[in-house]
Amino acid sequence: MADGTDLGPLIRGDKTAWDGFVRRYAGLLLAAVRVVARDGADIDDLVQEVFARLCKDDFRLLKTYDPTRAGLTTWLTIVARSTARDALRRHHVRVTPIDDVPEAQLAVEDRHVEPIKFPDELLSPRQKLVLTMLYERDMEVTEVAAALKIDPQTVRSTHHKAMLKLRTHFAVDERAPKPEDAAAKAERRG
Amino acid sequence: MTGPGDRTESVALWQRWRQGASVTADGAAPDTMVLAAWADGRLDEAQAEPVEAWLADHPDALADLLAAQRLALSAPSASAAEALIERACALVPSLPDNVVALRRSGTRAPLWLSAIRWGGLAASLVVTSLVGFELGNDAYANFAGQPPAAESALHELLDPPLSVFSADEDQAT
Repeated sequence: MADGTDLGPLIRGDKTAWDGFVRRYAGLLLAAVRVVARDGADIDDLVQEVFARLCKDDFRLLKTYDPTRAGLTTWLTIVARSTARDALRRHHVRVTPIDDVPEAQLAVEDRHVEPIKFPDELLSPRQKLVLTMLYERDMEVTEVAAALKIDPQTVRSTHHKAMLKLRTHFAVDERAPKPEDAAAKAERRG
Repeated sequence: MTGPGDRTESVALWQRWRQGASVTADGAAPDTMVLAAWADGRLDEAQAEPVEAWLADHPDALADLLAAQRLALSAPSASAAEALIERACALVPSLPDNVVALRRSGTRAPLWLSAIRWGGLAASLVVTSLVGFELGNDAYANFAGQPPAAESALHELLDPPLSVFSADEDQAT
């Protein structure tokens, strides 16, 4: 039993159960997909795509749902949004003939840039996620706390520790002599 | 949490680190069920760690989970159009009138009955094999015109001497 819905008859192919499921969750899927859809995208088509994915191959995807691990509403929203995004990606691949592209745009600039690699383990996954939510999604501390199901004070403390690590890391990084500076100094001495 | 100046500095630091760290960040997407469990707060710290590491590098997925949390809390007010519902319902066809769904009977034969059936079949195979062997055992002797060395009871039963029938015929005449 998931959120009051018995999926047993549904995944056995019971038509009445499927109709009931569609009526119950069409509104949810519509709401989930609406935010992902770009302007001009047919939202109804995207919802249809989600339902089609759920019943495809003898309800293969729906059979993977485990009510003991997560709520059906949560799971359906995640499935709906990822399906809609995939569908949009497939349908909106823009192709421009190479002759229509100005030559200047096709020219490849020979710029050898060494990517700077920072130690990935500097921040813990939780710290990275908190900073992502605060600075990339512009979420409030209380919103982050609600999303992570932790206390707002824990969010503040996680943020504080993460920023300390970053400041220390970059301070050390800036004090260290750069290779080109060292070479220039050596040349002057020589 | 912090003043505007602090925030600008913090954002700049985070973006600077992000540019470098994102080079190495990659990995397989966690299963949808795992993501849903994370959104519902049903993962322990050890289980949540790899999911959060992945989410920090996949903003779209993070947005999906945050939306799922929001929608789980408040039932969506949007109602779907009847045409959309009908299209989705049609994805699972109902059986035509002339097709009857056959189901396996719920009551199966008891074990003892099935044992008797298989036992009877095995016994009849054994008897048939023995009879065939007995009949075929004397075949070479019969072709050679020699009487069988010893008449077995089974042979007598299946191939009675001619005198049995001739005695009956005498009595009839």
